Amino acid sequence: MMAGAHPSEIELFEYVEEDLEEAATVTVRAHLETCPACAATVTELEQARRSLRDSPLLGLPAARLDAILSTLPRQERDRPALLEFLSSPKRLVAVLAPVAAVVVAVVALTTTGGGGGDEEAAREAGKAAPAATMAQAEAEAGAATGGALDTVPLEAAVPPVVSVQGPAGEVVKLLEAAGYQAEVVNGTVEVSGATEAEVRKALEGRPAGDVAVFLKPR
Amino acid sequence: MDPDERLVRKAQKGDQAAFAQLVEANQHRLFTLAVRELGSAADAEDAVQEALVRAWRALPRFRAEASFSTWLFRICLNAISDQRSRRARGGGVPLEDVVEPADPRDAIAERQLSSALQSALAELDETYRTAVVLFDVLGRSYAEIAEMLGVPEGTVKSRIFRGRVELARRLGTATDVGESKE
Repeated sequence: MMAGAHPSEIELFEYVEEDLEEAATVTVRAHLETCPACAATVTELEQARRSLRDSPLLGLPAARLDAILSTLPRQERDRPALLEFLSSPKRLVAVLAPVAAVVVAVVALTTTGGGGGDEEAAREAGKAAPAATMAQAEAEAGAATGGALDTVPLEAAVPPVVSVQGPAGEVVKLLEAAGYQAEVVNGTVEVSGATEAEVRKALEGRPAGDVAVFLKPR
Repeated sequence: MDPDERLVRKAQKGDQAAFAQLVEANQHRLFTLAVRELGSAADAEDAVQEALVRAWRALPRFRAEASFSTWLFRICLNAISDQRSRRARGGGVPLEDVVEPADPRDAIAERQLSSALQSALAELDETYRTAVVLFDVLGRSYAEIAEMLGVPEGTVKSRIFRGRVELARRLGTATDVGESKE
């Protein structure tokens, strides 16, 4: 702060918070004695701080808290790392295609060989494909089905920047129109080249909905 | 290992009782943040519920790059923002008496104070409101707020400065009006 000049916002704030170094504190204090405008600002900073700090912490009603804690859904760890990898449809096809070929070959061999035990093996092999399909569906749908607790995307390890109304393709177009790279990944939208604030601004007019928008991991 | 870290590790393995302890330690601050941001107890409850469910589901993948509470607040801020968007479409419920002070010293006085404060906060720019609530009401540090909001610490200080000045002017006006009526 130059002699005679008004302190900056940050300097006045730090003065009130007693974060300024001693020399700067003396300079600001001397200025306040001759500058009613800055002195009034300091008073306002102190008054607002007092009001805010005197306000009580508020408690979530106990019944609501109990209800939340007693109906927690499955954690994401229930979805193994392999499923995480396979949650991309492209990756899933790439991995499942050769696996399916092997399963078909094994089933063909065992069924042509005959025998009761082989029938059981064939039934188990038959179950494997629907199970994989179910897993894919779960991954693709996120938690778009079911009640309120299920509306949280599975990809929430890093919380979405915002969740807006779909379809996801339209959300991508909006983001691209704002100059960012975006793509649909597994029913959600991943953006690169934008900050959270920029994403929020680009989607400002979009109603809230089930399409979660994430910043693409660097 | 600090007690929070131990609880986080247990909760990451699916221990709901450990998660409940973590929630209990943070729920007043989360709910206060949501009420002050949304101005509606019902909306705040929904936002906190969504934040807690998101946190629980994502917890196994939490890597302690931030402190647990900073991570939880960040999730809560996103849930609040989503709730605000939903409300913009559907209309909200005003703040009601169901909000319970965590420490009911003088419930009536506190409710009056809360009411004037709430009105003043509601008129603030959102970025200023978030900064003053996190710093002055919830006692978070500059560094934590900067991390939660993804802005430099200098920006945090500037937002608190402007938020407080605006708030003081609005509270002063509210008090003058209240006094002139009596």
